[in-house]
Amino acid sequence: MIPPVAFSAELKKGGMEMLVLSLLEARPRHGYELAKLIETRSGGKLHFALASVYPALLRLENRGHIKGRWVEKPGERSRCFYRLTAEGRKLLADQQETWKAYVAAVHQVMGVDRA
Amino acid sequence: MRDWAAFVRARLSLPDHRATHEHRVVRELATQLRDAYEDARARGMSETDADDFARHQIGDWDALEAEVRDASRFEASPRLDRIVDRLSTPDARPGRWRTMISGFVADALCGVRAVRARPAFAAAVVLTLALGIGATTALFGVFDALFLRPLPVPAPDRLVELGTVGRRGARAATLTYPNYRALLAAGSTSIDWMATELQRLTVDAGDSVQRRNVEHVTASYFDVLALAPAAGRFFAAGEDTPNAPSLTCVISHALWRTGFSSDPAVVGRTIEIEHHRFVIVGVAPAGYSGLRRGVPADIWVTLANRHLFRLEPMEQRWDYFSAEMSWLGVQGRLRQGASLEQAEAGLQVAAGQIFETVPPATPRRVILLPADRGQLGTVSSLERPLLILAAAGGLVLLVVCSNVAGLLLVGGNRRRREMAIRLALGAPRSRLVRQLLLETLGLALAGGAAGLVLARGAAWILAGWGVDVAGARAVSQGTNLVIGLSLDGRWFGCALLLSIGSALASGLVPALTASRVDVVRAIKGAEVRRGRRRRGFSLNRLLVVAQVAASVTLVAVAGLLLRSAGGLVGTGLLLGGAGALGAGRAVSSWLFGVRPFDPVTLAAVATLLLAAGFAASWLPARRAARVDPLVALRNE
Repeated sequence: MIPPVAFSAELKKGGMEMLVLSLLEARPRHGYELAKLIETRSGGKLHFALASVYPALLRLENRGHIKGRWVEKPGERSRCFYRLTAEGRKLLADQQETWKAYVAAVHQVMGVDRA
Repeated sequence: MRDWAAFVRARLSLPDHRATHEHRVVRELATQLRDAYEDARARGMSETDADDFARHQIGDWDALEAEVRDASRFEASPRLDRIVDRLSTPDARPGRWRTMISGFVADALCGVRAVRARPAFAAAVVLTLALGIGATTALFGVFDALFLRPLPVPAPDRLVELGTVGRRGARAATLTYPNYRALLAAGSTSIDWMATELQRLTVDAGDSVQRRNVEHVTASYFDVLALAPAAGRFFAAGEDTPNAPSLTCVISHALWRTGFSSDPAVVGRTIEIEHHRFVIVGVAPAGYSGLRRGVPADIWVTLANRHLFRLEPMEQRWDYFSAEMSWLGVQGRLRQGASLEQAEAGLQVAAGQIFETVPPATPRRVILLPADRGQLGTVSSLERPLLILAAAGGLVLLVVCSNVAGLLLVGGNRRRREMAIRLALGAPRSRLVRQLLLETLGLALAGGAAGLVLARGAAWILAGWGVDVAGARAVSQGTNLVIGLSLDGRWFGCALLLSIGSALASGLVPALTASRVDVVRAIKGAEVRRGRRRRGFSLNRLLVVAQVAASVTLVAVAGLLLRSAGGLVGTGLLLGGAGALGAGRAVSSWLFGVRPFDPVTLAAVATLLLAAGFAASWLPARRAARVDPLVALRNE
């Protein structure tokens, strides 16, 4: 297993809401599933404890970007599944746009620096 | 396995959250911790290790508590608020009502600081608004006292007065005594009748002898009005007959208070009216002073004794109970369930019979007039001048609002930097508009309070003018005129509404303008030069032109009302003009950024006045030219 890279807390916190929104784009998911997915898909580089994930979910829900619903699936316990709202979808599109532009700009700067 | 809900509940405390919200937070955290535990177990950890793993998902409970609290500040507000918020500020975060209230309080405090920073400006705005609101409230107070306030009796809207329709339209009728008796005899299933007449007589009551208003009434009077005596009783049916064993009267609450020091043993005492001894049988309730507006009654006596008060030599020959004398005003109350239309229809039948059996002294077409405000009589002559004054008052308030709007526009110009910094810090524009509007509202409320004080004095002066205008007519009718003014909730309501209206009228545009700044330029200190030459017609110029036009209209209205004071108006115009020229330079900073001799403004004012003058002379001339000479001669 690759040891987690030491990203700063500020950097991680800033991107967490965007990550949560991205993961909810495909389908509704519950809180622990989101934390696990972030860790799995980042190859273990990004690890968020529940203490960070839950406040982010609460914030997004209270702002109307996601909506939680308690669902009991067959053979499973009742869990709160979050889905994207229309506002959340719009916010995600905006954030993805901004993020891409930011990354492109950073790459450009770093490329110039190397040259 | 551990009870995760109890685990969370023991560590997380959210006393300021709603119980349902707290329950949800606990349930969700407990579910996620259990998920973590089960995941660890599935990965092969022992129960103890899995428990450790789950417990360490949340290391700092205090930090989590703070984050949950912080996140809950943004709990979604009601749908309407969110829509409004989204419409006004697309990037604003929806807030809970608590956040909104705290936002309002913060804005109000900001406003107070801004006002304290410029006390002279605030004083100018408050004083200006006080004048406008005071003048308008005073007018409302007098108009209300004379024409709007219903009689202080139960269900005044069911009171009616017998009227006739003649060539001059509908007006209250006066009946002969036989007519009235016949009306009663005809019987009505829908109205209880009463008849009245007012007379000013010399009364020896308590420790003074003075002229007082005495209302001659039928015994049914107080029953029809549905009043209860403050002391004693009202008239019995037997007392309204010419041969009653004793003369009885009811006195007003005001006379009881001033003439008899509210003596509870006043019932049974006697007073002298034109040297006739009357026994006081009761006291009318407080606040009730008869049917006539502006002519408060002090004493009520029964109608049957009218012949005792034939005071003039010529009057001695008159028989008030004959079919020749029309002198009775007839009022009534619609019975429960009866409508005005039903009563009027029934009245036509009865009127036909009455006026056929008794020689008619009244035209036959009778109607019922609403009498919820009593009899306007004497004061009705004040209605038109007061309406003109009310229109003038509205115009004064408009001038004041445009004046304040101008001051706020200039003030907003000076606060561009402050607005720019707040915008740069992330404040949505709607928040700035709200703060500026709250500031204006605060100033307007202060102006309203000061205006109320001014209104009190102005209304008394206005009432004095009203008494001068209509009083002469009242004296010719043998009565006096009193305009009873009492500062009450209706005045406060009027001043409050005017304050809020003025704040919106004068504050909205300046707030929108002040919050629309170029952040970068304003922060760099690029001031907008005041008084610079601008192309086109700016809002400031428009305000100046509107004010001059409204002011000249006001002078014209004043001239109409005070035709005899034409000289005063001329002097006022001369002094005002000279003063304006002299003070123009001194107060140029208050001229909304428009120079005193700005050619565009001067030209616009002159054009507007010329247009108004042309319309004012051309329209009446055109109407006069349409009159058919033959019709005019026939009317002559």
